[in-house]
Amino acid sequence: MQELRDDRPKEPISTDGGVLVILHCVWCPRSKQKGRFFLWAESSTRNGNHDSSTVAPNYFPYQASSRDLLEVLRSVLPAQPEGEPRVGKLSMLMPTMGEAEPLASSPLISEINVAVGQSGALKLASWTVEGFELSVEDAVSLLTSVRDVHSAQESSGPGHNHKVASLVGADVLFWSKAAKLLLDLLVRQRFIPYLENGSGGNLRVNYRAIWMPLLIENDDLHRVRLFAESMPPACRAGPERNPYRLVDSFLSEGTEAMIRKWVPKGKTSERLRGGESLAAKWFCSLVSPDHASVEGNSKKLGDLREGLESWVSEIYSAGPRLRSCFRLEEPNVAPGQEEGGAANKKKRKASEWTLSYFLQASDDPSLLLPAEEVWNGNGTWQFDAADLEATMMKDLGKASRLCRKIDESLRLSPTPTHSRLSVEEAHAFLANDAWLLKESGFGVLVPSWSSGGRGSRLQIQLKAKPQHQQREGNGSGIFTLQSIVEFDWKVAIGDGGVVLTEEEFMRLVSLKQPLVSVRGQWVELRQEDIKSALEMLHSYREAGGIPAAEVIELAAAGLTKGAVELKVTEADGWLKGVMEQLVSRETHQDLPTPTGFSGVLRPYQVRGFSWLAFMERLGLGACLADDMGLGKTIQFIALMLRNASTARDDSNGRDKTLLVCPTSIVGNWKREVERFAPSKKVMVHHGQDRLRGDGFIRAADAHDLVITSYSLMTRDAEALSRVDWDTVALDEAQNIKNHWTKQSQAARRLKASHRIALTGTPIENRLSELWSIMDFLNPGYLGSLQEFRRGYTIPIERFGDTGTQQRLRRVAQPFILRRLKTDPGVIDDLPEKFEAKVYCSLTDEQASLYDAYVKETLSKIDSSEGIERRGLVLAALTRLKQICDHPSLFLADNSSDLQGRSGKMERLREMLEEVVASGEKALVFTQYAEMGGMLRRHLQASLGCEALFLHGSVPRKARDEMVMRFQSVDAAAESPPVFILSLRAGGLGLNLTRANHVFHFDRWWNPAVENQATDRAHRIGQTRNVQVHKLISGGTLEDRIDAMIEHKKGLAEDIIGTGEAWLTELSTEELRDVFTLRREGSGAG
Amino acid sequence: MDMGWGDDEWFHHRYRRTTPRKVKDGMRARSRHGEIGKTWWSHRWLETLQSYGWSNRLERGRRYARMGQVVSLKLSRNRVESMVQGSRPKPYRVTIEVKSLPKEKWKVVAASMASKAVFASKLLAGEMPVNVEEAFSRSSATLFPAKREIRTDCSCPDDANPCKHIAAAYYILAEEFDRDPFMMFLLRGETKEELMGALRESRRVPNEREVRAPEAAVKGVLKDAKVPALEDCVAAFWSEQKPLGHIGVSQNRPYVDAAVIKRLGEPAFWREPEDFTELMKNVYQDVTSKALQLAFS
Repeated sequence: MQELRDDRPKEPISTDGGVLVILHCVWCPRSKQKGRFFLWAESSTRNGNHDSSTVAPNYFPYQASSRDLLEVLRSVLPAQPEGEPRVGKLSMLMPTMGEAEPLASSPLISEINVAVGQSGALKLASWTVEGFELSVEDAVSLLTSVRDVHSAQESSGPGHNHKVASLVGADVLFWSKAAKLLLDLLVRQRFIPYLENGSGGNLRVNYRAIWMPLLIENDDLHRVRLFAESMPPACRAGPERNPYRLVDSFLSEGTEAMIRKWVPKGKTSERLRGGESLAAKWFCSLVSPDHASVEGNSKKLGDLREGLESWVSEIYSAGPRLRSCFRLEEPNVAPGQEEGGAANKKKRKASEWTLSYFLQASDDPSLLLPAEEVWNGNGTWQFDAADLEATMMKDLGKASRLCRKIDESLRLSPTPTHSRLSVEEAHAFLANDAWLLKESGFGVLVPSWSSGGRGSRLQIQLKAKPQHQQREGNGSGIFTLQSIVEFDWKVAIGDGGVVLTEEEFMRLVSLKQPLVSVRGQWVELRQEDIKSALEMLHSYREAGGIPAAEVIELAAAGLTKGAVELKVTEADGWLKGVMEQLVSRETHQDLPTPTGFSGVLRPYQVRGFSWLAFMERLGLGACLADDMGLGKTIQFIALMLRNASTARDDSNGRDKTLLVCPTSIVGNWKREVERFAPSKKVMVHHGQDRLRGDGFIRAADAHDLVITSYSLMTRDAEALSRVDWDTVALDEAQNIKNHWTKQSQAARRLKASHRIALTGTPIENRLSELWSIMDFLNPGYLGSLQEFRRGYTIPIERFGDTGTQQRLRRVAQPFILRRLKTDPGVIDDLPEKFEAKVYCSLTDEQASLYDAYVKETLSKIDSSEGIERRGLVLAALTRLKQICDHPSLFLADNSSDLQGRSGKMERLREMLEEVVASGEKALVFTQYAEMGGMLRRHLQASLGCEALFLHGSVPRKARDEMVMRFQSVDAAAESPPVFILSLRAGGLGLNLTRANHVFHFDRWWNPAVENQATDRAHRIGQTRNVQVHKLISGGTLEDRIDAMIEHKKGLAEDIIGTGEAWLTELSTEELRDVFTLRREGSGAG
Repeated sequence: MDMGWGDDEWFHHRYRRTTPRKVKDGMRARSRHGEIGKTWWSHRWLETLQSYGWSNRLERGRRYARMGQVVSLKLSRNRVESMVQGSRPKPYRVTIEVKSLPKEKWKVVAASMASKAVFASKLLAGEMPVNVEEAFSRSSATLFPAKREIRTDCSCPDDANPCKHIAAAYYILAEEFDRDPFMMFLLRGETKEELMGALRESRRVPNEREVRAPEAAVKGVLKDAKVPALEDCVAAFWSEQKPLGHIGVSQNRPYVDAAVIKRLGEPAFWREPEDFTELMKNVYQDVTSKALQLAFS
């Protein structure tokens, strides 16, 4: 009923009660049957929700219920297994303390009470888990889609509603990599058909047609070995212990299962007419989805098997040690330099290409033995001459089937060493034979400029030539993303810097020579490449030019299609300056501090707001992604002031801005605007009494800035989208990271001339977030969601493709400005210890508890006196502070439902998300141990990372270990980024300098105590700046007392004093003034 | 004369249609229509047969070969022995004898072959060198036997020679030669080992490498590795023992589909009319497409 409570987003992404589930899987090969993948999960609620009524003694106590497991499967693995998965049990070995204390796999599930020295006491014991069984083909499909990032999953599609936060265990990650390895082998066709001897228990021998993985290349063998060596021991805890057997059986069964799944029986074996012979039956069994056995006369089967063995063995007998290698060499003399006549026959010969023959050692491809030496009859490289000759001879015979020139050379000589090729033949070799030879296992060396026969690299260099002059001072940028820009182009070929003009290139193409010499350099032009390049240019010409969005993309990152790269390398006139500034994000001029700004802008902030203004002038959406604490708020306020003071087309000169932010900081924003831009008229659109419909529109017209929350923007989307905003800004823009939520959709519906996003997270690393925010700022620039997924998300997240990742960064960079505290231009401008107050709002539940308590306690205080009164006042201080912290702390109800009930806790979580995402660490101080415990549960589940908690009852040894873990710089140790401490514990001599954020969740108003806690982080040895955040519930006693202390600082300290004792001296009326909740400040309407 | 003949046949000693009994698991010619034999050298071989005329019998012989009436075919030095099923309950015995080349001539042949790499390399790769007769001409002999160098016989009642049974055997032989040109040398009196040995003497050549069976190769690599006991790995039980890094999936189709099959060539036991390599190519292409789809969708 009350507004604030309902403001939480309707699609919760994080947990509602701190349940965290970790997904695991075990590969269980079985003899004489197909193996199974076993999926199970651990849950942070111990023994909770167990489906069976009696829990057998050796059941793993941290096991998740099958309901939770299904939920997690649906969220983590977007591809679903068909039908209902089968339930099963598995007996596994797990590390166990003593007799019956198994350990969870991670501290996120449960405390791991093992001090460092004690791991010797851990043994392996057998525990039973329940879970789902999957066939290998279903498992492979699921595992392929697991992201290659060890982090909490985010929902990615419409309608996802998670109650349970989840992670994937290292074992699932391992098998997902194995699945990718398998797919890679299948894409590269590393498999062969064979016939396997099934062992029949009885006298009959079964034969099965099978597909075997073909692992003969050194790289493949090496990878498989690495896999087996790297396998997490947990993967070996099931029925099979040997990692090599596990990997081998997975690859073998996986190959079999996937091929049979994919090759439909009808298509291929239909073509076998008759099909009576054993060989035909074998083939049909190979392509049958389920019937693999081959039946027939056992002697004939034996013959077939022998025949297959000798057929297949040729691949293996090639023995990976030696193989033949063919090298294509350019002529010494380029064409055109030859002269006619017999006297120059030698020179002409020199202009022919040469294909030389070598033997190559497979494990060291740089060792090449020329054919002459092979025929000479001396042994070398530990082989004797006969072996060398034998290999070369046989290889030449095989190669001669694939390459006509080699065949010719065999006829000409008993000991062929090379072959001579004309230009056309050389090209034919590069285009076809080279590949055929390579795929057949021979070494092939081609000149570097031909990039292995794929053609020389072509770079088309575009020069943008805008027609219009830029008009100054016009608020609507002439340059929109849809503007068309004319262009010229040149072509750079290969790496040698040969640059041709358009005419020269077209002339070259018209020669139709695939291999040409240009200014002394050989160049290979493949028809497809040229064709696709010319097509691209032609379509641009047809459209009159290149759309500006693509100009930016091509300038920032270029576009590569095969061997052709398109890049904007130059621009004319005013566009030149714009391009430079866009790509570098350094504006040529810093703007002066705008009028009406009360405060001082630091130099980097001046640069930031100048950049925002520059983008706005160009009509481009911009994202300010500065680190927390650098003052994004201030930079935006400066921009707002500047816009207002610049002449506008609007009749009333007013600049209508809408700012959307999380509910918890609506009040904070209002305060900031009032502080830095007091002349601005601000309206907070919030609360039950907020304006609607036409009333709202009229009011919006009359104000400079309207502040509202994300949830209200969504709820009142209709009214908000009827206003023609000049600027719409989203603070904490990661709130629209999920494209499908109503919130994101509502944001896109707003009408705005300019769009700005503010966020503290490293947005370039978070792909769906990046796309969604860019889609809001500059729709279409990064393509549709589907295009983005195919082009960027899958290569980067699934396969860790760093090249694509870098490209994306370059493409997005013109629109994102992110500075870090550690940047050279920033670090000198920041104070060493930087303190900020963060005003948070109360939830409805908190507000009503607060009001009720204040009323009740004031009447009691009024009617008491002396020591009793003092006691009541002190008690009231505590109780009210507890309400501000979290209702559950006040009610002492041990509730597991923590989410969404405390404004401060939500704000803390939002800020910690940024800290963790930036790879930084934080300390959180609270005076209540129970609060510390609640924070820990909630933060672990919602952030998906570990939070240490130190309070009075923690023994010394455990405490030291916590400190050690927190301070650890070892990347592999998974050092927790968050450390919660009770204020008392902060007083101990602890060194926690790895943290550079300190949060005071509640206040003691004793600066000495607080500073001491802060200094845990800020000691000698700390190389970075520390930010101190003091969370204050706006409008409550925390706010009031803080204000009183601030204003009276320096004066009358003996009255105010440190601590809280002085409050007991206040009269009831004064106390009423301190205690009463002021709703305006809290952000409630 | 066998009393089993029908009266008609005794009187009309003329070619008559008879229906042969069905054979289970006979040697069937692969080609279903048109020519039998795919290579130029098996065609050369068949030229001899065709030079006899008797087109009806040849036609019949082809049909027999395609129906699988040739129950067995055994090749030995200078001699082919075959059982072909006719209309009678017991299959007929066919023999083909080819005149052998004397030892000294083989020596000369070997020396000629040694002079050009093409002979040894092609033969080893399963092909008959095109100019193989060159190697024989110096010793005034030919590899392919002339008519007068061949003697055939069949136990069937038909007097014609070659009868349809002999013809069937010829056709099946032709396909054997397709598979292994060394069979032709065998028919002329020289086994593969002897030929290779002789080549080796004149010019050192092929030492057959030891053949490694596939399973040993694949699993052998993995078998030898040392495995730490699970009990010793309790400390880092849930983590990767060595960093694996990112595993990527190739985004490019192989330039040549089913390259491995192409390299191995058609297996010797494949007698179906369909091209084995083509069939496999379709399978391999499908697998790549589906794997790419799964990885990148």
